[in-house]
Amino acid sequence: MKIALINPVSSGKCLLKAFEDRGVEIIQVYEPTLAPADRACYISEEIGMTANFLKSQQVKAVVNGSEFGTSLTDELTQALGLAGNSYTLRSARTNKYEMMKALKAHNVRAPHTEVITSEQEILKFLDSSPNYPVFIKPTASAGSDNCKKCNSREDVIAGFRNIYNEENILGKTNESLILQEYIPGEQYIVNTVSSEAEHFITEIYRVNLEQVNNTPIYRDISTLNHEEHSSLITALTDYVLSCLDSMGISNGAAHTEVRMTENGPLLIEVNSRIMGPVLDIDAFSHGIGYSQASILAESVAAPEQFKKRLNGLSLQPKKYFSMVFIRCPFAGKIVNRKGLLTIRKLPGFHSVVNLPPLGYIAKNPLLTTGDFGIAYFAHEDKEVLDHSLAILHQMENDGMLYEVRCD
Amino acid sequence: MISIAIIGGGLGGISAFSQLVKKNIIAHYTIYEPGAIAYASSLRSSSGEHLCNTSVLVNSLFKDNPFDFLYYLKQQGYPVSGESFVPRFLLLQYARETFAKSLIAARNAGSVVDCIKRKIVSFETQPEHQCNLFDEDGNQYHHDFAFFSPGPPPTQDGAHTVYSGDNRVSGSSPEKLDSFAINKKNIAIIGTKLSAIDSALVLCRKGIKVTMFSTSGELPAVRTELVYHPEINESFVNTKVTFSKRNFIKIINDNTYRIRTDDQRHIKNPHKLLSNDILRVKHGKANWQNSVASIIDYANTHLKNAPTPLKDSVMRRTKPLISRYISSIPLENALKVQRLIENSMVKIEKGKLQDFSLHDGTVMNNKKGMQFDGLLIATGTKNFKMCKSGDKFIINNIIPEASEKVTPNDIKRINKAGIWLSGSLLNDIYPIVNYLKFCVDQAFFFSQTFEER
Repeated sequence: MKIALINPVSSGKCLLKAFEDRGVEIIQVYEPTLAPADRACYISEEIGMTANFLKSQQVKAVVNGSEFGTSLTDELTQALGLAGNSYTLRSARTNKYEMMKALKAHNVRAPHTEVITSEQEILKFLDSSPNYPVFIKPTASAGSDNCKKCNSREDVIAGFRNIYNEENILGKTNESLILQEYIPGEQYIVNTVSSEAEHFITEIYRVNLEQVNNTPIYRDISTLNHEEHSSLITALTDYVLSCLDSMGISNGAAHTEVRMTENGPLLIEVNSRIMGPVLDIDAFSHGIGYSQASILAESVAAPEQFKKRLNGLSLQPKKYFSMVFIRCPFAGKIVNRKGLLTIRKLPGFHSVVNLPPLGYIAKNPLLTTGDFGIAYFAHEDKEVLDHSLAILHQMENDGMLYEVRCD
Repeated sequence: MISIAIIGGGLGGISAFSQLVKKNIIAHYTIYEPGAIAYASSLRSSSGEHLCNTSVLVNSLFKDNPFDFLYYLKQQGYPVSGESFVPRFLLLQYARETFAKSLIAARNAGSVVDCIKRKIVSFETQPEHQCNLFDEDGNQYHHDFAFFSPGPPPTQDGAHTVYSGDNRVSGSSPEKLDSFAINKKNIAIIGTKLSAIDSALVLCRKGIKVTMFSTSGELPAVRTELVYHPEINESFVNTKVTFSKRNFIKIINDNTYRIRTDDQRHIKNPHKLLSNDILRVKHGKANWQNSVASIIDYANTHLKNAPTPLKDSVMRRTKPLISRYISSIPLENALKVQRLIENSMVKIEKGKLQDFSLHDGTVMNNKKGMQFDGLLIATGTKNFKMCKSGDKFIINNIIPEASEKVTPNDIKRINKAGIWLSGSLLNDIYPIVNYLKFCVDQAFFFSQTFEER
């Protein structure tokens, strides 16, 4: 079997391995700005040419490799007539304003959202006496890039000037941004893999978020006790499945973030790709039995096996599992990683990946891109796991994990 | 604190212990198992080629939760459904983890759990919930209650003296096969049933050509599942006619009738027969298999208090049906064998052990004039039997000459003394089609007696 994998960066590298494990032949397709110098790939300069090339190669599927590949994947699946997501709803999957509009069109609860394309519009919005706090973010981006909670008119204006017409993490200019009602409540992640409009929930996590300078920082994400939280899980999954259907997601992976408000779940965003930034298959298999990437590969390469998973059950993973986004609380140059010696001895520690090299200069300690490493923990006893995470986070906060020289 | 003995740390024993713990029975538990808990099971195999003989949905260790094994597998990340046949090592892994969880739960609840590495070979009943157990060395252990699930005895090496050294082996454990298979290209297997097919699959994976011999020169039937069909149970229960021997026998005959008229019997080519069987199963036309589980379940549940002549009669009538089911091949394996026959890796021939001899290190089939690098005797496991000798009940694979047969009245007396038996020990008393399910059911009924108390 031959497939095309589009812009496999971030966790897309793990997806690449998941397909390789199954012996699938992969054509890596990159847009010019993302193309790696060290591996064979097809550089997509123009959609028609790329589609013709993939057609000549008789690829059976086009799979999105990361947030960067969402649009190109939609275009190529449409051009090649392969199984993909709804083409007419494609903008709802990349533009956060269109996303909320699509939900409303399908009578699914969505937060109030405004799109802003100029300074005049933002001033008009502020004159309408909005309820603070409001949330400001680029219309299309990733990794909590420039997402900010604004408590006042001044905060909104500062946030606007910080984002508008600046380059975002996807390498594109922010020609618009969105203002959204602030959604209070715990944040959750629901990951899925879909095939022919049937959805399999691969994982559900509670997000341990911390607000630093009004920016939400991911500290860790952890699986839940399904028995204890059965009604919460039902509410989350029912809502997320409605969101997926509203956005025309019927094939491939999705990574959905929601907050649980007093009136039920409310969408932060749906991303039609696997979760980032690193889905280490060994760590996820140890804790959960599989990774979202391995399930996506299964859905494409062994659909009859994947179909056996589609029974609507949301089961307790084999262990309690956490993925920790290691933080370096200060900007500066990393001179050692001594704290890891302690972390590796904590109960439930599995592995740590993506470690920053010595000499790495931490510029923006607030991004959720895993630049300071990702640690995985799994344990049968949730209290033991939580205790290990508490020690790890305290070491991060105390600056004991990485020693940073701020010169 | 009451004292409960569990004899056997295999699937039946673990099921009994876990079902008791689940019912919050606080007791001093003693598990007698000479090997490792779960891993000394007769199902032990680390080969992915060795599948369970029944589908996932009937391999739960909890009678009141048939989905337990399925959920366990899904939690581990396996893409399975209730109808899947999974490798045996997963069933043992599930049993071991179930045991570990039950052990913690039992101790947290205040129970005491001991595991004693001894083999219990006999027992005596005392009036009203008292029993004495005896190990191989004659040591005596006293308990209030006991549950027996000793499993089959270890594979015997048979009494065939014609072959020696590396050219013959008995049994189908992958460990034995690994060393046996070295430097062999062409092996004969005596048997075409489950353990023979398991062995053939493992050997073919190593690139060895296999010829399987049976007296019929055919493979057994193909089956997909062993599930309970509510509509059949309902027709049994709701029958207007008062339940009678005649009525039950009629229902069995109605189901075995399909076997007799089965057009498969007229096909003699084993590959054609197998392909035909596979097609029938795939198209849902293997009706004979659908009724087996329901009939046996009904017989075990509803005939417990029936008069002995009726039970004897049922046993006689159900045996051909059970035998056909037990030796039939799960569809997954049947498909593999079909492919192997088509690729000339497997052949099926008519023959028996006596047709073989050893000449200069080569195994010869004298009747067919065929020669092989090795011979594997895979004729299945023997079960433990139980007999009476004076006041003692003896569990062994060889019945002493001076012993008496155990009667249904003895079983009643044993139960009254607080002892429950399961598995092959009751082979002559109940019709058993699925040993694991039978053990789990017996263990459940055993645990229920405490709840009632």
